[in-house]
Amino acid sequence: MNKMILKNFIGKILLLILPIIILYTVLFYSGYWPVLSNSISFDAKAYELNRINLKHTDILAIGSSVALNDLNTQIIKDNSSLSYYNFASWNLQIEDDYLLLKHYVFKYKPKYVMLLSTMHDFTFEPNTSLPANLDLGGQMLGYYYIKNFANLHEIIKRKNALDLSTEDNNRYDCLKFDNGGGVELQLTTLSPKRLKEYLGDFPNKKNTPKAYQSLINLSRFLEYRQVKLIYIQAPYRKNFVTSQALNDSVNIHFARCKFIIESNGGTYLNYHDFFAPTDSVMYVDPSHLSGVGSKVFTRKVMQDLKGITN
Amino acid sequence: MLFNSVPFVAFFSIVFPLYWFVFGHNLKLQNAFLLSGCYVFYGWWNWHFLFLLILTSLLNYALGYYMGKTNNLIKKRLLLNTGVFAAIGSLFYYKYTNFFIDSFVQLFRKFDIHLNIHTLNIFLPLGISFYTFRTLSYLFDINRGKLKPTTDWVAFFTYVAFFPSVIAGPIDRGGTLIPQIQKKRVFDYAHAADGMRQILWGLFKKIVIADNCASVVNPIFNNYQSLPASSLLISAFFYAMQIYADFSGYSDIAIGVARLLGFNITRNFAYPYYSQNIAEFWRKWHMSLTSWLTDYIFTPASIRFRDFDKLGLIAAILVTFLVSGIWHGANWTFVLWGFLYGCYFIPLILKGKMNKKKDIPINRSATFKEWVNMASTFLLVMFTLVIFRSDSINQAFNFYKRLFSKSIFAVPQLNIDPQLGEKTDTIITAILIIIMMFIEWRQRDKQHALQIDFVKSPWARLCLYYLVTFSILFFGASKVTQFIYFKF
Repeated sequence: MNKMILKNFIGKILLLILPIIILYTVLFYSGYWPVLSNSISFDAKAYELNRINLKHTDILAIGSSVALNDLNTQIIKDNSSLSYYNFASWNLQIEDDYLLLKHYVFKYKPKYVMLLSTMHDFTFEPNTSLPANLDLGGQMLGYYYIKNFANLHEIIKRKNALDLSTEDNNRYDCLKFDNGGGVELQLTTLSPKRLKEYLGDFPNKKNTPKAYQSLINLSRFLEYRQVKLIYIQAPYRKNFVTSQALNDSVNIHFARCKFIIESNGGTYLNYHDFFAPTDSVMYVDPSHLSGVGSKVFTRKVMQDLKGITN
Repeated sequence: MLFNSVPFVAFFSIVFPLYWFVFGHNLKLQNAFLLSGCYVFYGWWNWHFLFLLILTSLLNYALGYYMGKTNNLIKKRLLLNTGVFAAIGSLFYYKYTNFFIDSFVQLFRKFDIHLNIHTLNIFLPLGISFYTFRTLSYLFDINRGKLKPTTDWVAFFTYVAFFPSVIAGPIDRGGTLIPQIQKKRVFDYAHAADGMRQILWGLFKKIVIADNCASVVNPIFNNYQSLPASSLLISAFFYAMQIYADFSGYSDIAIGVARLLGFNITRNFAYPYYSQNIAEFWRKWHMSLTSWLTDYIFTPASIRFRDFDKLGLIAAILVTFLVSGIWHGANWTFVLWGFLYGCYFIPLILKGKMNKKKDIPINRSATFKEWVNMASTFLLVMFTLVIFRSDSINQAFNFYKRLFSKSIFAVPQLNIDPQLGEKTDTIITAILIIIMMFIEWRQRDKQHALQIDFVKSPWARLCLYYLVTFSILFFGASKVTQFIYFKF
């Protein structure tokens, strides 16, 4: 009798939960996917990886928006017989890159890691919402509704934002990935506000030292795992670095990165002044390249890498 | 394992059917299973500290056992003192060592003496303040002859580690929980269903109210120096709501989970923000701690100071609240917070109003005077909680200084950290707080706000459950956060 009552109780609880499970199933199949982190870009990349079910890549590119926009997938694929995928997403800091690489190296078994970076990647706090999403597997996306609880309001808001970002390439926050995970910016009009953006306080006492330590850890980790690290300093327009003092700091930064990378078996390439100051068509803002710029830049990178990646 | 996390849901989904279906027919097996479940729950967080929990249980079981065996009062006293010494020693070491080292160094620095003593790297065991008070009450009750020591070690160990309440209470007494562990439990549908309702209400308070309030409060407290007083006032209000919803929500879930296992554990909150004075507030806020402090600190102290009449009572209250403050945390802010509460009792003691019950019956609305009393008690609690929330007394005073300034009339700045929420989120949270407070006001004669037996139609009840569930799914804060009381 007692067991019957108990079964009845459990049955009723399950019946109560059922509509909620149905609701989330409908949401999932309608594209209202779980919110994984506080970065739309990181989530979009995770959804994309889930969709294409990537198992392996020879060249793994990583970094922030600079790496996402400046590396042209088609040029890399045309100039290399190796498989390639770009894992970059907005605002990833060196500490984030290290965290992700510790996971990705085991999962995707790359031969080369291409870290395209600029000073901004050494400036901000790392994203604390990423660690909870490292184990995201091929079939596990639905589980994240429970694991990373986000309210329905947030899920709907996120989907709407993502729909906008994947509409076309004519927007700064474009997340329309090509078949190598990159995003080519094809902007018809440039934002005057974005064009005035510049490197702020650099280096800063709070985050930059930690970022250097992460770069050391990252280089050592890859060397230990016998993965070749190719560190590329991205190009930027002259007005990105506004003063002589800042320029001096940036030069010290270059030297420091070069030392860290080369002393741990990596290759350091610096293209900060690759484009002539008058080549405004190559940029959409002082630190991100346009579609045309990314093609020219990537072609040069691939030429320089010929002797390294073969 | 947080109550609002996937591991707990998975853990309980396994424990619950096994507990009733497989082990339900044999009490000894059921208790042994419950004890192992308690240890899995506790060890999930940090299995190293599980040994401390077991050691504490073992020591207090042995002390209780020998206290029950002996008639020699001196020997009994010695055994009790050993237990008290061990409990306070363990609390002191894990919780207060660094606090005392730090205070000591600071004190000498004032006299320009720079001591080279460093704080130690000590990790605070989860729930230590709660289970230590639990074991202490067991020994005190045996000493007073109120409780017979148990010879059933499984029951005692389960009492100390009882998983619904081991982390953050309620602090059950041995006399309440041990007999329930030793008695055969029969699954009661109504009892379990009410437990589920209480869990649902607890989740609403935690996920919808407390966690959303946190995203308003934290950025304001972190940037209070650059914000207008109006923002600070709002954050003080939201913090009062956050701590209530967080802790009472946790208690509701704990009580509900215990009910599903066939237990009735101590009530911890009785709608304290509708209290008309501070004495009533403390009878309704963290009730298990208040009654513990009343029985083992306040009563003995007031007996000891009885010759001093009202002055003695004031001294007893001050001692009690200082202990309460120190219990809450290793920081002078908690000491000051406790001391202030002790001071708030002084007018009540002088007027002889400390024990007057003032519950407003459910069948009538409050009078204007009662509303004023409630509002003023709430404001007093709200402003005192600023000290509780601050990292240091200095920060608290600076916060007050800024709070009581001309900028109180400025337009409040709310979306300090756009990543945490927008202005509209704050307004929505405020509306949800009003809804919660209204429901609790209407249900203030019930054990919890979702006790809706008066709604006769099962469909209407179902609709109400879904309404609460969907408000959690729609408005719940989008981040798994820890319950505030876990750190105490």
